[in-house]
Amino acid sequence: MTPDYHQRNYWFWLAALASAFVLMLLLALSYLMLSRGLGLFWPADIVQFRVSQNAESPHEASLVLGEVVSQQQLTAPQLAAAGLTFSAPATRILVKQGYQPSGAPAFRWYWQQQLSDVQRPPEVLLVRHRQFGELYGWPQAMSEGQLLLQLANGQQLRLQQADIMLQLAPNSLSWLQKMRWFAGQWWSFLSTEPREANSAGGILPAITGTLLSVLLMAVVVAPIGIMAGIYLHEYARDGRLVRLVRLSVHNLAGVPSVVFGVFGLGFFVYVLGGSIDQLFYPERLPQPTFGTPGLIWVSLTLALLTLPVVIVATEEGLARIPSSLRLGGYALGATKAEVLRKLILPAARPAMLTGIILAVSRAAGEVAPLIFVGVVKYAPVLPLSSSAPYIQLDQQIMSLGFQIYDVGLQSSNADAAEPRVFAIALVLLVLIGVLNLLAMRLRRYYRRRVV
Amino acid sequence: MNELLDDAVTEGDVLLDELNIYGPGVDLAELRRRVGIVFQKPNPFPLSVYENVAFGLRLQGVNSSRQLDELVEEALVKAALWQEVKERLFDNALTLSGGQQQRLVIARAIAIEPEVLLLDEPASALDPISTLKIEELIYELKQHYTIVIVTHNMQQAARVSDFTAFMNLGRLVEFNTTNRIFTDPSEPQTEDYITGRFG
Repeated sequence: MTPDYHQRNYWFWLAALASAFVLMLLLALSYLMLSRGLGLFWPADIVQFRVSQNAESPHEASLVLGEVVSQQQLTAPQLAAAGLTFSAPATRILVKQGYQPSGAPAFRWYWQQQLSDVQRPPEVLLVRHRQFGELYGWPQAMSEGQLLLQLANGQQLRLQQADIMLQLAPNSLSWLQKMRWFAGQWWSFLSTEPREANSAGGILPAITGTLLSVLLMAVVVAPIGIMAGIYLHEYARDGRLVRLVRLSVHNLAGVPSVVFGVFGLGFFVYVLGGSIDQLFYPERLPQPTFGTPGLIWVSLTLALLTLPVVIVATEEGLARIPSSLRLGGYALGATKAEVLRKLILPAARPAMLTGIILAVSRAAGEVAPLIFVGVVKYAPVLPLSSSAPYIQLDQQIMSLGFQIYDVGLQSSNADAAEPRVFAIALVLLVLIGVLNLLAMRLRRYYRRRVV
Repeated sequence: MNELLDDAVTEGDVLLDELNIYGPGVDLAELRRRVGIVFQKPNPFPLSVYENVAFGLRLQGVNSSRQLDELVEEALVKAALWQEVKERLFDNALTLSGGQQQRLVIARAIAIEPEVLLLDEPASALDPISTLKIEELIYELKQHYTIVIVTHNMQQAARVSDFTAFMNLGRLVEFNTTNRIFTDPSEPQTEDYITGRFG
C-alpha cells in the first residue's frame, strides 16, 4: 500500500460524508415542508374533554372543545422551574379552541393530568364564520337560514347562514370524504385571496405576484445578460477596462440583496419612475403613477440582482466550446458573426439556459430588496387586466417570500400562523421546482438537438 | 488562419493566382472560401452529417433544398463517404468514427468548390486503415483540385504528392518534384532527412 492509496481513501470518505450530509439535509427539508405544510388542511378530529383546575372538585370542571395541535413532554426540572407540582414526566397539549366569546385566545395549553372524559363526539361542527373566524360547537337547530350553535362554555350563538363560509363535522367523515375536503381546501388556498390580515384564506395574489415578477425579470435579464456575456467573451479585447468590468460583474454577485433594494428605490422608483411621471403622466402629479413602488420596479431590481449570474454562466459556456469548432467555421469562409450565430451560440445555449435557471431560482426566493420596490403585505387585486397591455406594471404586488416573512413574524397569532408558513414555503418550493424542471427539459432538448 | 494564433509570425509571400494572400486588403472570408482547409484532428460541427456538408453551401447562399441535396451528395461521393453515411445523413456527425469524421470534414471543405485544398496532417490522428482511405481519397481529389498536404510521414508524401517542399523550423529548405526530392536532393539537410540521419 502506497501512501498515495491511503490519501485517496481518506478523500473518498470525506467526500462521501459530505454528500451524505447534504442529502440528509435535503431529505429533512422535504420531509418537514411536506409534513407540516400538507397537514394544514387535513381535517383533524375535534376532541371534547373536561378540565379541572383542582382535582378534588370535578364538578367545577369546564368543558373544552377543539383540535389538538401539538403535544409537549416536560421533565421534572422543567416542571420545577415553572413552579408546577405534577409528577414528572408531564405532558401538555396545545388545543385550538376557535373563537371564544370571552375574548380568550384561540389556542391554549392544557395539562394532560387535568383532563378527564375525553371524547370525540361525531356531531360536533367546525364552522368558519365571516366575523368570528373558526368556531367549534354542537348544532342545536337549523331554521330559516340560521344556525343555532352551542359553544363549549354553554353559550348559544345564532349564526346567519349567509355569514357561514363553511361547516364541517370532521369526526363523522370517512377517509375518502376527508381526502376530498383536503383537496378542496388546498385548491381554495391556491386560488383565493387572503383574509384576516393574511392569517387565513388563500395565497393566489402572492403566487401570481412571484410568478409575474420572476417571468418579467427573466425577459429582461436574459437578453441583457447573454449579450453582455457574449461581448465580454467574444469581442472585448483583454485590456485593463475589460478586466475591471469582469471584476465588477463578479463582485456584483456578492453584494447583499438589500443593497439592491435600496438602489432600486433610489434609482428605479424615484429617478426613473419620477422621470416617467414627469414626461408621460404630468396631469396626475403629484399623485405618482410609476414614481412609486410597483411590479415593473420589482422585476428590474431582480434583473439587476441576477444579472451577474447570467453573465458569468454565458461566459463560461462560451469558454467551454472547443476552438476547433470556430476554426472549422472560419475555414469554410464564415465571418465572425456567422460563426457566432450558427455554431457557437447553439452550442452554448444549454449553458445560457442554466444561467437563467439559476437566476430565476434565486429571484423567486428574494424578499428583502423587494419590500423597497413594490412588494407589500396585502394587495389582493391581481396585476392583470383584460385589455392591453394585460399586465399592470405600476401596481404593487404580493410575493410568496414576503408572505412567509409576514405570516411567520408579523402575525398576531403565532400558533395559527405556523402551519401556514410551512404551507406557503411548500408552495414556493414547488413553484421553483416546477420552473427548474421546465428549464431543465428545455436544456435537455437543446443539448440533444445540438451536441 | 495563422493570424488567429497569437504567437505566429509570417514572413514572405504566398501567392494564389498572383494575389499575395498576406497582402493588405485581402477579404479573409473570400480567401478562405477559395482555399479549403482540413485540420489534423477531425472537427465536425455538432450538427447532423447533412448539415455539416451543407454548412458552407448555406453560407454561399444556396438555400433551395433540392440543390442542397444534390451538392451534399456530390461532395460526400467525392469524399468516398456517401456509401457509408447515406442511411444516416441526419444523425449527429459526432457519432461517426474518426476516419469517417475526417472524410466528412474533407467533404465539407470540397462542397464549396475551393481552388486549393490545404490538408494539415489529415491522417496523423487516424489508424492505418483510415489513413489508407484518406490517401486513396487524396489521390482521387488531386485530379480536380490543387492539394497542399502537410505531413511528417515521408512515405505518405512520396505516395500521394507530385511536388514536395521540405521545411525545417519554419523555413523552406528545398522545393522540387517529389521524384527529385526523394532521389536526388540538392540540399544536404534534405538528404539527411530523407535518409533518416535527421528527424
